[in-house]
Formats: sequence, structure tokens, C-alpha cells
Amino acid sequence: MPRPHLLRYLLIAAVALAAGFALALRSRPPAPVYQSMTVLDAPRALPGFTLVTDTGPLAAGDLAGRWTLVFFGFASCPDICPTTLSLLGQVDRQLADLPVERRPRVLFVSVDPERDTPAAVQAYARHYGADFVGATGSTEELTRFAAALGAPFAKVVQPDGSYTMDHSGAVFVLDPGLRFGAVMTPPLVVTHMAADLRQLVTR
Amino acid sequence: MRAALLLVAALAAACTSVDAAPPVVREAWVALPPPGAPVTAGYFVLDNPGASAIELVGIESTDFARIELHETVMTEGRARMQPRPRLSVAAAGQVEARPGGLHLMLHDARQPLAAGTRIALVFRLADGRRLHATAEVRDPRPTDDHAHHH
Repeated sequence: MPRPHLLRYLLIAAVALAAGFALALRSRPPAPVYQSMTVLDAPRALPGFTLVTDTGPLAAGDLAGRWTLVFFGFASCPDICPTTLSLLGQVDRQLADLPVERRPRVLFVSVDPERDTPAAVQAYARHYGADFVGATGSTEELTRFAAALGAPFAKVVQPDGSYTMDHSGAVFVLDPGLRFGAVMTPPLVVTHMAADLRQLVTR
Repeated sequence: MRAALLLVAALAAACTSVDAAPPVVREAWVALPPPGAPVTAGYFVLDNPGASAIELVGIESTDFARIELHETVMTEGRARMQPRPRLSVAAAGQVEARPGGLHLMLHDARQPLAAGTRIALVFRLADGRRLHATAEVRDPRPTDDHAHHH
């Protein structure tokens, strides 16, 4: 009499185990956890744009094939731009072991073409990293590029007649397929950014 | 006994005179700017150990054409520079100017800045007092020593 019971239990246990395995096989590896990065559910294709660098035009297509970290700012920005670029310089060093096709390159985009020449932006960017690229562009092209990333900027005239630029404090991540795939927002922490990026580019 | 009482009174007086301790600017530093940048930032801690609030109304240096107090304010992901022409520090209070927030905006260095050099700063208070501070020019970039993590 106890025997059929035992069999039934064994059968139930076997079925449960099989179901568990099936579930485990079906489910994907756990979603990566990011500390300072928001990864878009669906990466967004970027519209065409042409910026200007010291060595000539920089078209959207020129960014294809590599990961790019975009930060908007301007050269007369004494606090947040140097601070952020300095942090990105440290991130860059922490990712120095990655092969070039995975290692993100920093693109600093000046939204103040009135004052910042392409040469000045390049010198400003390169101060923080040997591979950093500095660019600016016409207001139309800058607006098109910034709008695609959800990074509005604005000229703000001060009481003394001088002006400053409001700009995004975020760092935008473009994938090698020229899609906007992730964004890192302040407070930016070097170790978090480096870990998040390493995870993103090697997944 | 009388002598002891006098001593206690003297000590108490000494203690209350701590209340009148002057405000102090410390940990001041100026960021080495990228080449060609017309402005750079300065940071500091302003301690007010006194019993009444103070108000900072200006900063001067013979090494710069003009110095303003600004604050980087982040609203909805957007960074905005907000002038702070006056800054009050409560009694027994402290204000810290650190990267990404409150900072000095230093315009047009009279000489090219180099890391390690010292800048003399004068902080002017609304009550007429002038606080002297020395800010070291520091390169905020990582040094090569920190580059080889892997």
C-alpha cells in the first residue's frame, strides 16, 4: 500500500523538477544592474547631423563603429564642464584595457559656437583625455543633435550683459550602430560609470 | 576662594571670546583650467564660528580681472549657472564651495596659471571685514599614478 503513494510523490517531484528546469532554461540571464546609467528599452536611431571640429566636419556617420560618450558644454563654463570632463577622463583611464571597438570615446560638444572656435573646443576636450574629441557647429545642427538626445540648451543673458549657456548635465551613450542607447545622469561617480560602461559594452 | 572665583570668571570670559572668533576661509583651491579657457573655478570652505550671521559680498584677487560667486544648479537634468552676489553664513555655520555646486568664477587670469602656484584671495564681508586666503592652483585631472588600475 505505501508503494503507490511513494511513486506518486516521486512522479510529482519529477514533474516539478522538470518544470523548474524548463523555466530556468526559458528565462534569460538576469537583467544587468546599472548604478548610474539608464539604458533605453529601445535604442533610438539618431538623425543626420554635421558638427565642426578642428580638422573638418564631423558627420553622424563618422561616429559609427565605436561607442561614444557625448557631453554638452562650453569653454566659458568653469565648474560643471571641467568637473564632468575630468570625471570622464578618469573613467577613460579605468577602461583603458578594453579593445578599441569597445572602449568609449568622449565627444565634448560646445553649444556656444559664438565664442568657442573648433580649435578651442578641441584643446579644451583634449586637456582631459588624449582621445577626447571636441566639436561645435551651427545652432541648427547643434539643436538637431541635442534634441535627438533630449538635451536642450539655451543662451541665458546675465544682468551685466554677458551670457552663459544652460546645458544638460548628463552624459549620453551612443552605440557603434549610431543609436542613442543609454544616459548617465548626475551625480556622476567614476567607479559607477566605469562599471556600468564596461557592462554595457561587453554584454 | 576669591582667587578661584576670579579664575573661573576669567576662564568664562575667555570662552565667550571664542564666540567672537573671526570667520575663516580654508581649503581654498583654484582649478587649473584647460588651455584657452577664459574662466576657471575656485573652491573653498567658509567657517563662521561667531555668534552672528555674516554675509559674503565680494571676492578679489590681484591675479584675476574679476571674481564672482556662482552656483551650478541642476534642474530637470539641466545645469544652470546662477550668480550668487551675496552669500550669508549662519552663526556657528559653514558654507562649502565644491565642484558641481557653489564655486568662484574667476575671469581672465593676469598670468597663465600653473599647478602648484598660489593665489591670494580676499573675501569681503558686508560688515566691512576682509578675510585673507591663499588658494593653490590644482590640476583636477588624475595623475598617471592612478592610471594603471588594471
